[in-house]
Amino acid sequence: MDPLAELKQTFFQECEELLGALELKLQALDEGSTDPEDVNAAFRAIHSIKGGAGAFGCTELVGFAHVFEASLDHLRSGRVAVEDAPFTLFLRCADAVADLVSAARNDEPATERPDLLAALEQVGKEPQAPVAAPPPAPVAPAPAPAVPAANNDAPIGIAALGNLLAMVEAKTAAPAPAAASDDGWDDEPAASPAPAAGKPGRNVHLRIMPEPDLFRRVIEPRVVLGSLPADDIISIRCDLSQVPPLESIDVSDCWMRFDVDLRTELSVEDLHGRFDFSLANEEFEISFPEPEAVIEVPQAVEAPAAEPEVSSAVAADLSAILAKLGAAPEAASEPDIQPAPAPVAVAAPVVAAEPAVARAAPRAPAAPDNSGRQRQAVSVRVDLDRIDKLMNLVGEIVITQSMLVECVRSLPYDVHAKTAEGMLTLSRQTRELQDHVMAVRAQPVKAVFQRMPRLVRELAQTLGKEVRLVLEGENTEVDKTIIEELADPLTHMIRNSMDHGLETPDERVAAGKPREGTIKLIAEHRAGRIVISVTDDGRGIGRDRLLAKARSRGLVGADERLQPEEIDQLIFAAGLSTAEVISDVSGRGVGMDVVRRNVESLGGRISVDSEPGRGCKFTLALPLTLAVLEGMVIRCGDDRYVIPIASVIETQHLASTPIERLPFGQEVLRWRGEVTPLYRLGDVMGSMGQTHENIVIIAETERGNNVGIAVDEIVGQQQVVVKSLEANYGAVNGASAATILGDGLVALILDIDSMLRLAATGNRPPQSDLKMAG
Amino acid sequence: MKILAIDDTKTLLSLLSLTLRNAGHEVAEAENGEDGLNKFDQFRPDLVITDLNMPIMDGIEFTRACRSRPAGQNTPIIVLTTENGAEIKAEGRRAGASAWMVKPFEPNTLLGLVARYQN
Repeated sequence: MDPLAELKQTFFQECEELLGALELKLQALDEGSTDPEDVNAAFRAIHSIKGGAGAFGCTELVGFAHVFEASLDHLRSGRVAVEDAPFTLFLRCADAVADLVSAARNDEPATERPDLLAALEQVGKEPQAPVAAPPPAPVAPAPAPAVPAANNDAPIGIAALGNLLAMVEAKTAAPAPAAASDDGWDDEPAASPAPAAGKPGRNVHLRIMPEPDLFRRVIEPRVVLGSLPADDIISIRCDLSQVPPLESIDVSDCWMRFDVDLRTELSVEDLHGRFDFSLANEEFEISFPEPEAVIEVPQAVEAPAAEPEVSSAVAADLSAILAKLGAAPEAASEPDIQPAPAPVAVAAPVVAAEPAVARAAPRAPAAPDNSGRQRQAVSVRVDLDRIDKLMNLVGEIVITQSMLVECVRSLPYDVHAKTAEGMLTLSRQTRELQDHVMAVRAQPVKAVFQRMPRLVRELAQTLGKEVRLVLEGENTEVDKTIIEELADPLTHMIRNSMDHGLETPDERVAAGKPREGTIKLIAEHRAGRIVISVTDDGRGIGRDRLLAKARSRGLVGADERLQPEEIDQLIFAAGLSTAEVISDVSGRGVGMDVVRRNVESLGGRISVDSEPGRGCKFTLALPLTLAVLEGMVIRCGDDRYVIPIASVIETQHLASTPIERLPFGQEVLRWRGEVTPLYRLGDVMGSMGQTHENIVIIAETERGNNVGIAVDEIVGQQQVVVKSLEANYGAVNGASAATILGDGLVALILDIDSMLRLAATGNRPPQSDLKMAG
Repeated sequence: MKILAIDDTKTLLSLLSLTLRNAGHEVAEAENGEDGLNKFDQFRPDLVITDLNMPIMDGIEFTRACRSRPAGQNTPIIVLTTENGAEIKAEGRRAGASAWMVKPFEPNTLLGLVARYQN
């Protein structure tokens, strides 16, 4: 890919981050934050998007972002109080920007949002002004007159005007080609008093009168004057009359004035543009010894067709638009302008347009940007592929290292001691290396979470519900690969809660609940997994209807009795939807079973807890990483297994533990006063060889329950590299993956929850959907 | 020429240095004014191009800080801005900015401006 296209892609990625930040800040402000840094950050986000969009020629995006930025600037400058600001509008605009970004990314035509633009322009206006009587100012949102402009037939709103203005300005700042195109001045009567070798063009007088601080701005007269084509210069005179007496002179002050006579074909805009990049408007003056030159601006305005030069043509369009908006530059209505100060006449179109766009974003001098400074993390973007390679390599090192440890054990003692010491250091360093590589891949779930407010907002609108979304644990970190897989299930879960879980405001009031429903999205680390829950305070799962449906589909036998919790789990069964009206929001009930399948394929699990009338909680548990695991290696019979260390609470001798047997055969043990079910690993997993269970491992399930697992022996504790069973062999019940131990043999990595399910179902077919024990 | 480019929008920063590097300049990048000052001391650029609106330390503050240290008094500073307001320009001038350029810029415009500062 060429570097520019690559940069463009990077820009769009950056836009995603910026949009996320924008939305979070707006949300915070909407919820009552008055932190000026929130305002600044929101402003900067849209500002950066605008800047990038301009660089990549995304005109629609620039146009919209510009107006948006101007509105936010009212907040920044304090012209509009944060409490009074229309954040709902701003949030909708942030959504619109997101749409424009994705349109630009996919090269699709952008949807114009004249409604939002018009509303944005009202921000900062007289608050009491009735909508029917907008000020007669140039900013009145033009009802999209079809102006023939270079803007792809986009309705000309203030945004398009901003674009044009930006183009004019960009043009003004650009040095024109040395041989400026013929701009029709040839047929002037050549009344020049001092023609430079009879060159075509006209005579221009330039007076440059810099402020004394010129040198301190590191501007050299050479650089300033060097911007003029050398051939056009007739004479340069240095006026030293302002230089103070020698004894009071400060050498760092500039007291020189320059008078330059030119014979040039450059237009006034061009000349202006050659100085205003570094000089203030007060620091230079352009005048014309010939009076007729002054009518240049009106001419350009009135006869755009005869004006081939781009900047003038744009200026003409601009003037035409301004005229339609009722704000024609004075120059256009007063063709017989006085010959005297030409620069004023030249500046007219731009100045006239300024109230419309540029001045909409004035800067309050007392609003420095440094309030609430934050040190931002310096970061580097690295291709995920490279990190994956690194990770793989680290994995191999871990295996090699544990292999070495095995070898060292068999060495004679005197050799062994020294080597063992080295091995210890090596293993510590390997561990550290691994941790660091892992940390590189870890990202906060924020990236996914911050997409959800928009989803909720849009759905709330579609469904006519009032919803408050609460996010918690956004900074919980999880491996990058998992982050990517989170978005879909979360979207489904939230949709489901919004559509089926939450009631309409009226229903809620009738049920004695607040009108506004609440959805909580919470992420946390538990038992070596990331657990994300979506909780709503809606009506809960309609168990009767769900069960009836399941029976009618033959998913549940007519005489089968199910516990309430078991009924709830039916929501994950394929093809069940109890929504009375099938909406386009959560579809036809394909959602949750697909979610479950996807989550399980990642080694995760999803469950639901519902309380009728009170709400419903979906819990999604995923491994923190798909790459390495800290594990306890155990032996049972001839087989070795790895239990994720995060699941292990305690180990003890089985002999010292009182075991009881429940009537239906389940063994339980008393552990710290709690009755805890006991499973014999050899029985559950069907281990080979004779088992002599000596040890019981107390482990925690994702739901926070404890179980005892009886095994023969604890071999050790080590980091193991996770090798997918699905990819290399096939799914194995009770195990989430496999690993290769130091001696080169394979061990299964136990998945406690899945193992319990296996224990509960015996060796029945694996995908028996409806039973979810544990 | 050795040019220090400062912009908090990474894409624009890359675009800026790409443009400058392609024209044969040596470029150092910084993400904000504070970073810029550090890089300034290490890199000793012949010219600085800085964005205006940045977190931590904006372009105006950077310019002011740069002008207040001996090494920074003779280095031209070009300020990139999306705004073309007179007020902000005046503020920049007071801080000691040498020149302005309105974003989005044409690569040739930028290079033309840079070339003026080359001997």
